[in-house]
Amino acid sequence: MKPKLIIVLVLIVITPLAIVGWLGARIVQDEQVVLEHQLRELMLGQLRAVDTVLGWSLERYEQAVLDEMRPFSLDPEELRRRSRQSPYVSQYYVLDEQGQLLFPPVGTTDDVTASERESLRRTSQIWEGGVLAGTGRVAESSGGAAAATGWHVWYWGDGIQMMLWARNGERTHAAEVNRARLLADLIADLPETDVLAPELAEGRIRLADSAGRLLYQWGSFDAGEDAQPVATLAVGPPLGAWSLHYHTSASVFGSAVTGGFLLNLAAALAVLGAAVVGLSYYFYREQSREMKEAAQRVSFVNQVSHELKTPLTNIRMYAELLERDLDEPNERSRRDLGVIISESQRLSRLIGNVLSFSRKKREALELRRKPGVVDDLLRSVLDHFRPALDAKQIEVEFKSGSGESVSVDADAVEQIVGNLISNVEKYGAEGKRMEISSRCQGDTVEITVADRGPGLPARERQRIFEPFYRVSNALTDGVGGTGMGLAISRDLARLHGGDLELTASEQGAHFRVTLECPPVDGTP
Amino acid sequence: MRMKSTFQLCIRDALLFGLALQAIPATAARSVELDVQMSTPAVLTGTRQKAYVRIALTGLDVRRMRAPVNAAIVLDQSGSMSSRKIEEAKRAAIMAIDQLQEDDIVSVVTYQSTVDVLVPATKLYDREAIRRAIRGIRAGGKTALFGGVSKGARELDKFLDRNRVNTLLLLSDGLANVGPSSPGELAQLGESLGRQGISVTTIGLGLQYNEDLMTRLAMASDGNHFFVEDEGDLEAAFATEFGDVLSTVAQGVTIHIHFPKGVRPLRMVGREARISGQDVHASLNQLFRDQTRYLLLEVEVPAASAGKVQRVADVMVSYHDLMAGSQATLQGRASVTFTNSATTVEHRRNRDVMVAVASQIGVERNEVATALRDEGKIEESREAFRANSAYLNKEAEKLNDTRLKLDAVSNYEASENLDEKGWVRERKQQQELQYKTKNQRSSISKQKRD
Repeated sequence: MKPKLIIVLVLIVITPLAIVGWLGARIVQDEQVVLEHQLRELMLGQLRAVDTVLGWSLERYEQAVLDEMRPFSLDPEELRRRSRQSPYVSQYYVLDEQGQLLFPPVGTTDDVTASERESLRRTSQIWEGGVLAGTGRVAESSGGAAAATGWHVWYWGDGIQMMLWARNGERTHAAEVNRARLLADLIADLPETDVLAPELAEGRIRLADSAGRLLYQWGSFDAGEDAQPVATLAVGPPLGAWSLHYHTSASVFGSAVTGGFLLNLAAALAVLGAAVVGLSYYFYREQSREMKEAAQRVSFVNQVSHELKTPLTNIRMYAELLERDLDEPNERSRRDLGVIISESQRLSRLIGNVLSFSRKKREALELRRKPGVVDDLLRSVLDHFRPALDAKQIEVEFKSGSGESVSVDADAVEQIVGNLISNVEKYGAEGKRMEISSRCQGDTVEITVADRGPGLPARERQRIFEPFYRVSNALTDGVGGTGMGLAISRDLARLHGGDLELTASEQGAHFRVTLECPPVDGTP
Repeated sequence: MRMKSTFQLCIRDALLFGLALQAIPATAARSVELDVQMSTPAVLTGTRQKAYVRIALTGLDVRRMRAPVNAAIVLDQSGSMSSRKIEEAKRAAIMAIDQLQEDDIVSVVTYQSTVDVLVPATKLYDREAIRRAIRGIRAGGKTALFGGVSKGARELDKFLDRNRVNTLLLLSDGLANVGPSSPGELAQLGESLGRQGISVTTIGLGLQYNEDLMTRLAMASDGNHFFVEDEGDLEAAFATEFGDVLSTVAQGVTIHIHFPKGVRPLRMVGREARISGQDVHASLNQLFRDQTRYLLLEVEVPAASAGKVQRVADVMVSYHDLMAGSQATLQGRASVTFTNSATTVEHRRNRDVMVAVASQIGVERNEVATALRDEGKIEESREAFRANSAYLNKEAEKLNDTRLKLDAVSNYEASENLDEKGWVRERKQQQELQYKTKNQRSSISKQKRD
């Protein structure tokens, strides 16, 4: 009983907690998805801000180059001087309206310097393809006339190369930028290690080139070399081949949720847990109080039974002595004495059973099968109860149907049936009628005891067989009993290869006893 | 177009001459001295032949004052710098800053996986704050060298001024592994910074750094390069560099050499230069007090008859005089006299120029031998180093020059350290040697170390 109770209590505690926990986890999960989405948006926003910075930075670089380009010159010496001295540009070019190079002077090899030759080799694909006149934007020149400028990007060597061009009348002036310097200037405009929005302190932003090589990074989170970015953004043109990546630890997503939400959830779980535990504890205490009371009752019955044993033994002994010493055949006295003896014997068996039951030695219930006739046994029991039944004006109807001699424990049958009759007398008296029947079917003898009393509510039907269980209603108040009768009766019936059950009925309580009673051979 | 440019050159020749005449009385107050010399002022008649022109610039001790400094110190704080290395680097940086005055500007940038501007460009009003910031540096992470230089350059850019000595000091002990990392890319950046008057001095610490990257970055911006094997020598390297910085007398030096018709410029030895037709342009970022830096050009002189004097080179130097705070120019020229006497040729050889020629040729051969070793051709490389050592030794004997003797010894040592283990260190040593010879900047001096 006790381990079962504990399991039940544990289940009572765990089940609601588990349900609430699961629901909480689901909510956390949903919250997580929403938060992750929000964080990702936030990160993309950061990357967009970085892209804007890169755009400004590039514009400044562009302006510096344009300032160097102007005033537009066609003088080779001046263009060489600029190519030689410019920190931003590695080589200047001038094209005529047909896209033919005017500077560096290609046709006349003598005048081309070694570095110019190298530059021409680097840019040959542009001049051959004639693609420099791509889309550009229109900017206001100092003269007020509209001059188109734009970037041309091409691949050479280990990455993108950039050329800024500006249209001046029919000619196009172009400046091949010093790529390393451009990158250095862009990097100089980007943040340092720790400059990130405080809510995203655990992040790292990386700038990568067209080949995915890391150009620069910042942020305090140390992402591994091959770490997957949480958000990625392509840099705006003309650096479209470059990309920005946001890295952050998985814990940022976790901690974003834990922040307030998990705390609340944990608090709710804790309150609920405490309530459930408190409730279970209350039930446990109630239950154990009942158990204690029951145990006290057992011990009381036990003691009382012990106390009763000795006087009962004396009664039996003197009654038997009296029976032996009774000389004249006084039939009436002899019959009365017989009742005394048999009742006192039954009482001592009852006491024995109570004692053995209370010692949790149900196995000690023993059957003493002897050839007997069930109907005779029933009649005998009815005789014993007749005075009591008469007193309560209960009319008895007995339908006998088991007249053969079978192997049966008479005491057990008497005890089971006596118990059932005594219940009728106690609880079903107002029906004023009791029906007893017996039936023999092969090895099985079936006995039913039915009354017309108030009966039992459906939910009580199983529980009445539990020891010490008494239907707690007004009806039973003031009615004595150990509360062990039906439990012992059912144990005895089961021991006898059958069962004791309460069958469904329209009115009153109908008990059915089945007993395994093989017929005794040779007996008519 | 050709006609036009020839015409322009004629005009400029006339202008140059005029300027030269005007300039002579003013030279006394100048803080730079120009010396243009031929390796062989007398040449044999009858054949076209090669000769060398040395254009030497020396910083003069005209005024005991120094120009204000705009310095960025860019320190490697990657994981490999941990413990003693970072402590020595911090000490050296603090020591260097202690040499500066209140009016100087300094910035400190540190780099690892990311970059931090530890001390944004500031005048030295609050030295203790700067020291404290430097003391707080901790090592850890990777090596974002390019980003470090980029940020350092931006700090310099804030107060870029030709009246200040603009210099970036880069310390690294490892391979750049975040951002661009090829020597070519860093050289490109160095070139751009050099053109703005920012020189980048690189200090390679230990044996793990990429010496090609560090030397090319320094060379392209005309800074200095140090190989510091032991962190204990860091302070000496910083001291040497700041010694140079604090004795800078001229900045933004551009040299234009014009060769008269018939004389053909072949190449500039040991340096990058733009040769266009008869003109060569070169630049040096800084000149230092009591130090001589030079350009060496190989030219072809046309054949002529005996007694004829052939002008070989007209040199015009323009620089910003930090002592005077103004732009200044210098002119010089070199010519050869044709003779039939081999003895005269031999007799009139210029020893200083011959030493310069021998040491620059020694460097070129050293580079060839290094390239062979890089290709894994150990035996060929050994032969090349030995041959170079023999050549330098012979020239040292002939010219009676100890510097050449030391170079000969160094090349011989290199030939003995070509195995896997010795080469890592030896290559860095040879690169530093090549660098010093090509760029004529200060080495870590023993006196400063002791």
